Amino acid sequence: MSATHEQTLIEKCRNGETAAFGPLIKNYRKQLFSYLLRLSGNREDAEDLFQETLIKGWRGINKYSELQKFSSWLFTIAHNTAMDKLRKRNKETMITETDPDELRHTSDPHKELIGKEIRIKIQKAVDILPFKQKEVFLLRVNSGMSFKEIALTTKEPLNTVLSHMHYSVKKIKRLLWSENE
Amino acid sequence: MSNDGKMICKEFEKEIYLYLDNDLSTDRREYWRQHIASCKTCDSLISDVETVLDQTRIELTEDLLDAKFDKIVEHAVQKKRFKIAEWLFPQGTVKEKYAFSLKLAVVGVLAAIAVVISLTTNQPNTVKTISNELLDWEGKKVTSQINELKNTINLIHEDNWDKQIIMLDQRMKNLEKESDKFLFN
Repeated sequence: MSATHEQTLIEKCRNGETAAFGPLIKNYRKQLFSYLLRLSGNREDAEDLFQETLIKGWRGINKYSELQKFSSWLFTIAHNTAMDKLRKRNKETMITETDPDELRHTSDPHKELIGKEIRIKIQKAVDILPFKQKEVFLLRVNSGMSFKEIALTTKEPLNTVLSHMHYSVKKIKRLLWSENE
Repeated sequence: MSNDGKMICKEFEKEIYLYLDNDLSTDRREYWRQHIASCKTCDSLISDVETVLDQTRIELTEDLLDAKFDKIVEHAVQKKRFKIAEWLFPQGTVKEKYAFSLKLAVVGVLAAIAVVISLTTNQPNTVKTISNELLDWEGKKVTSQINELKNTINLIHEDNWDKQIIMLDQRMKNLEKESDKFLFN
C-alpha cells in the first residue's frame, strides 16, 4: 500500500467511513496478530488483544499524528493493550514454551513438514527469552519500528533497548546455529 | 586481529542496530561503512543479524482467518454500546464488557417487570401492614394500662385518698395523651 493510499484511508476513517478501516488495517494484520500471538502465548488471547487494539485504533484515529508512521502508532496501541492485559493477569511467567501447532491455525502441509523443525527452534528460542528482551525483539521483528520508536513505546532508554536486542539476537543465533551443527 | 581492531568491532556491536536503522550521524555512518568494507567480522555480523531477523519474521508470522478478521473489524467500528461497562471496567476486554452489559440489561428488564407486576396487581404493601400492626399492638397495651388505672382511682376515691387520686389522675391523663400517638384506628 502506498503512503498516499494509506493517508486517504486514514482521512476516510477520520470522517467516520467505517468501510475504510478494514483495508487500512489489512496491510498490518499478519504482523500485528503474530506479535500479539507470540506475546500472549495463545490464539484466544491474541484474538482478544487484536480486537481491543482495533477498537482503540478506530476510536483514537483522530488523535493519530502523521509525524509518526501509522504502523508504529498501531503497534504502540497493541503493545500497551497487551502489557495492560499481561500485567492484569500477571502472565509474564506464563509466556514460555508454546506448542507451535497450537498457535498455527491453518498451514500448507508440505511447508509444514519442511519448516516445522526450524520453526519450532525459532519459536522456542524466542519463547525462552527474558520478557524485556522478547518485547523488544518482537516489536522490531513484527512492527519494523526503529529502535528509537521502540524506546518510546517501551518507555526504556535507547541504550537499554539496543542492549536487549543485542542479547536476544545473540541468544537466538546461538540456539539456532549450535543446534544445527 | 589486533586488540584495537577487536575494540572497534566490539564498539560496532553496540551500534549495529542504529547503523541498520540509518539512525547515526553521516560521519559516524561513513566511519562504519569504511570499517565494514575492510572487516570480515563486522560484515558477517550484519548478515548474521539480518538472517536471524528475516528468518524469525518468516517463521513467526501467523494470520487470522479472513472471516474472523472481518468480524473483528466490523465489531471495532461499531458505535460504543457498553458505556456503563466502559466506565466501570476501562481495562476490561470486550468480552467482559459484553458479559457485564448483558447481565445489567437482564437485571434491568427483571426490575421493570417486577415494578409493572407490583403496580397492576394491587397487592397490600407488606412493610406498611407490618408497621400498622405493631403500632396497633402498642395502642392496645396503653389502653389496657389506662383502664387498670381508672379502676384503681375508683377504689382510692372510695377511701378518700385525695392526694393520691390527683396524682394518679394526672398519670392517667399523661398516658392518655401518649396513647393518642398510637391509636389511629
